[in-house]
Amino acid sequence: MPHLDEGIIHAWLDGELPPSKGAELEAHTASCAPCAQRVAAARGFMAAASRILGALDDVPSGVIPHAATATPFVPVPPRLTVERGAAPHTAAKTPATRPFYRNPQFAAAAAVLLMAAGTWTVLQRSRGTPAADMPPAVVREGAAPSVQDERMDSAALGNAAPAPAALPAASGIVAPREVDNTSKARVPRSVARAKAAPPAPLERGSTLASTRDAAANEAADRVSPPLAAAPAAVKSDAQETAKKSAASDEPKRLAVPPDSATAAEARRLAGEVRAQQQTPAAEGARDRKRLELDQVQVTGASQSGATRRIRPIGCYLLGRSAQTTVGQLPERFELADVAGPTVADRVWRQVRVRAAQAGAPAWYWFAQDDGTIQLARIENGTVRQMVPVTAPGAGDLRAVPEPCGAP
Amino acid sequence: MNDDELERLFHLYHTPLVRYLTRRLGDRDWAEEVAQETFLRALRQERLTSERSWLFAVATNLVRDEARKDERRRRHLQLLAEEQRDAVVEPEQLDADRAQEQALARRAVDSLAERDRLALLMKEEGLNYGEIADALGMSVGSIGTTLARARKRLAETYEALQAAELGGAGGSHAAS
Repeated sequence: MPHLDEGIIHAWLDGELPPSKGAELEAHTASCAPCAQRVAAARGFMAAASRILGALDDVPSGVIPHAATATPFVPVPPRLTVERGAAPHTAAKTPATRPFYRNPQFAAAAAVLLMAAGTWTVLQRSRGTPAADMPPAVVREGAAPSVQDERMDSAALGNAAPAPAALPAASGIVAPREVDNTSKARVPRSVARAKAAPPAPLERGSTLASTRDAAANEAADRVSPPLAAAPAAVKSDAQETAKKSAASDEPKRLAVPPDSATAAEARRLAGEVRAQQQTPAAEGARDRKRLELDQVQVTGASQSGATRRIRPIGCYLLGRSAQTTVGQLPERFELADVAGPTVADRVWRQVRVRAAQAGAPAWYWFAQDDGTIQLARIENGTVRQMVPVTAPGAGDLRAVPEPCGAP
Repeated sequence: MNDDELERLFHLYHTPLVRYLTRRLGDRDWAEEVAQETFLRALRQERLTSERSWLFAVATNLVRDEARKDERRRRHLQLLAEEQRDAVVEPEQLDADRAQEQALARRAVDSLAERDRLALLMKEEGLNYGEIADALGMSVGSIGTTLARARKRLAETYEALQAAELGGAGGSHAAS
């Protein structure tokens, strides 16, 4: 028997061959090493193709967006040790800003317009649609049509599928809002950098990571929230930090907008901390950021069947930097708080931590059921590692509980 | 076709059809629109003997025809849809890594020949060789070879793009 053709192998693996033929091929591959290798390679290509195509989806294949399952939380962390006596702060919350297009009225108007336009489009099509719209074979009742124009006119398809040269735009189509949001929130570069730059070290003066890659610069620029939402104290703090940064070997960090995670990804995370930043009022508080972790929202269903839980867990003072080890590789990372999307009348802030190492996974804050705080290392939407904030070597990273709304 | 029959078709095929179209077009809203139009056309049919291949073929034709139509109108609808979506739900943004992965996947998929790409996308939605052959006007015997070529090229191209990306991103290092 000659070596197997790749088309035959794929047909076999796709279950398209009759059982007798399949048995014949199986017997052949058992005694033919080159064919066995081809079959193994074909399996690999099939798996890879499925995975690559899956990356094109807005939502994972077979998952309905609002009924997605969530990956349950990995192991319960050690109890958080706390430090009291933190510097006072004002209770004033960051003012909410809401772009016009997020207003409910605008949303309603847009929805009506959309429906009207859609209806008009459908009606127009369903009326005088040219015969070219319908495959000739379809005219025959019940017959299966085939795709028209076997040449697969690439010019016509140019609009349908972005050409390789237009790929950045293509990726923008599938993930447009990250670009949009950052552009809407664009502020002068210097302020953006200042806002994104980490404040000075905490008491023990830990040095911050320094990475010089262009990605860090770019990401830092993207962190900038709308200026209108930045309280004066924060701005002055940021400007001072910017001066420090410019004067020294500027520590840079990778940070991305908080809403850069997809809802699907968020649903895979069992406990997403949403925090509201409050403005530090006293000079002594400058080195710390006060975050009111007002809710732990568990969205979606866990594999154990648990459903949505929302509960307040209190307020915390957060330190700014920490160091941990991923595998054998020491990593230094810093907290980044950035303006989040406006939901209803509230400005949500999600703390996102990202390792300074280029290409490193994202880090998130999490609150566990027992109220402890952990850092979660997220890779491809999966929790890979949980690090208690009080873990040995956690540097200055700390979360200090204090009464919510305390001055 | 009556409403019950249409509903059955919709429940069975809407999700895979939209996913197929989304992967094909890179635009979820557009995909939804084309899928809706496809089902409307199915409603006008008395009977469908090979319903899945019929739906995928009509959707594929609509995509091509749509591409020739008024682009401005489509973009306008897209904008409206985007604004509505932003206003109604919390924005779903892609993680940077995931966005990069998606961009690479898009480039790899776009590198395929059109027929190979369509066959592969249809296969991923569960169409068998006969249905793919019907929808694309090909012979059943050629589908295996088409899919083998498409899968291999897709995987190799993606891998090459990924390697190029990693090579381009090299040089930075975490300070610790």
